[in-house]
Amino acid sequence: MVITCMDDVTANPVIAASNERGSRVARVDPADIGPDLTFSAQIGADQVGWTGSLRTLTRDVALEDVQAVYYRRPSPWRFHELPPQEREFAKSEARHGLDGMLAALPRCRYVNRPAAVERAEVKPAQLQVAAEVGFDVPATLITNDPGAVREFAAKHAPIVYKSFRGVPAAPGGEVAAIWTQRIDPADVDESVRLTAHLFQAEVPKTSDARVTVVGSRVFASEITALDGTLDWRRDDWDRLVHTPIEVPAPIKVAMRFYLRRFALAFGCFDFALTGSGTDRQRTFLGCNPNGQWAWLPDAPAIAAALADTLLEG
Amino acid sequence: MTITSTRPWGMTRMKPPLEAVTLPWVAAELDETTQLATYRDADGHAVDTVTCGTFVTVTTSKPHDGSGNASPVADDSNTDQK
Repeated sequence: MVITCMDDVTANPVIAASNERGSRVARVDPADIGPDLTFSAQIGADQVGWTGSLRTLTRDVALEDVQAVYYRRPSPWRFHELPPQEREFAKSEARHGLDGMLAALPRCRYVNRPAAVERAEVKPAQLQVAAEVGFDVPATLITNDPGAVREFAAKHAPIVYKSFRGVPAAPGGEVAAIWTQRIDPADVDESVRLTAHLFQAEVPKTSDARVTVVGSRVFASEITALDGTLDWRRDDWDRLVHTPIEVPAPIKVAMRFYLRRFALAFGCFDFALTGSGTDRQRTFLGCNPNGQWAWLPDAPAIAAALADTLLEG
Repeated sequence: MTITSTRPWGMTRMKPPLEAVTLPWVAAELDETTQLATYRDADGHAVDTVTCGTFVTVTTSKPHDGSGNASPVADDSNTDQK
């Protein structure tokens, strides 16, 4: 079962690879719940695992037959036609009753379990586990105390600011981004006290590495931004150069421990690269448990590895 | 101590709203047999999402709630939209 929205083009190659391997795939978007998605499942009495059915417009799935779930990008709940209180009720009931059911299927492999993704998205947890498994982690400060930011900057300048999450949409629907950026500590004021902020010593990197791990397989690209931007995600994508790179064994081992700690079968690691040749250092920047990978040169191999992991573990 | 600002400091680091990304397709449909989504442009032609790199290469995408073309969100920094 592939849980995602219709506009998710990245699910297609994984579905195609699964079809090629002879499995029967159902593409399901839980937000379709209503006339277009009906489900019913039972447990208890003589049932020790959930059994039942989930019917979409094109598939009728026996829940007990689902062997693997690829959890990608389902749509947010809709319920647009309901009044606000009813809408919130419908959302939370669907989140627990339907999403919860699809996350609790017996004898089913998940890439990844949504609860594991949720835990692994939290930056303080990422940095704690990264430090424990032996990655180099940049000096990091999380605080709402402007004085602490100034002290940190005095010791570690230049420093960067990163938000934990994206910016919620403005009332008109406009979405803005906060890219990782160098900051001047003189700009920091009392408004830091309002909420949590993350600051990090800037890594004097020459390039980045994106390492995608699927099960036991590792796909690594060095990403060079031609204009030397700090955060390559903001760059003009035509101006990024991808080069396949080898990942040293100790880094592979640390990644395996990291993913195991979070119970993930898939993860996209970002490292800052400094130095070159035998002096090359890799500094952990983050690991996105549901990262994008379709733009990478390795995309066809990653899709195949995902299908293999889903079908064989 | 009172804080006069109502805007958390981090939001002062925000870049101007991202431009809306126009998807290279106007319609998406699900193939009943393969469960692959197929995409069509305004003229009804199939859009090849594998080679039309313009879409899969961006790390931003519109909020995928079926609301049509909209401002994108930064995919690698998920918002709490669900």
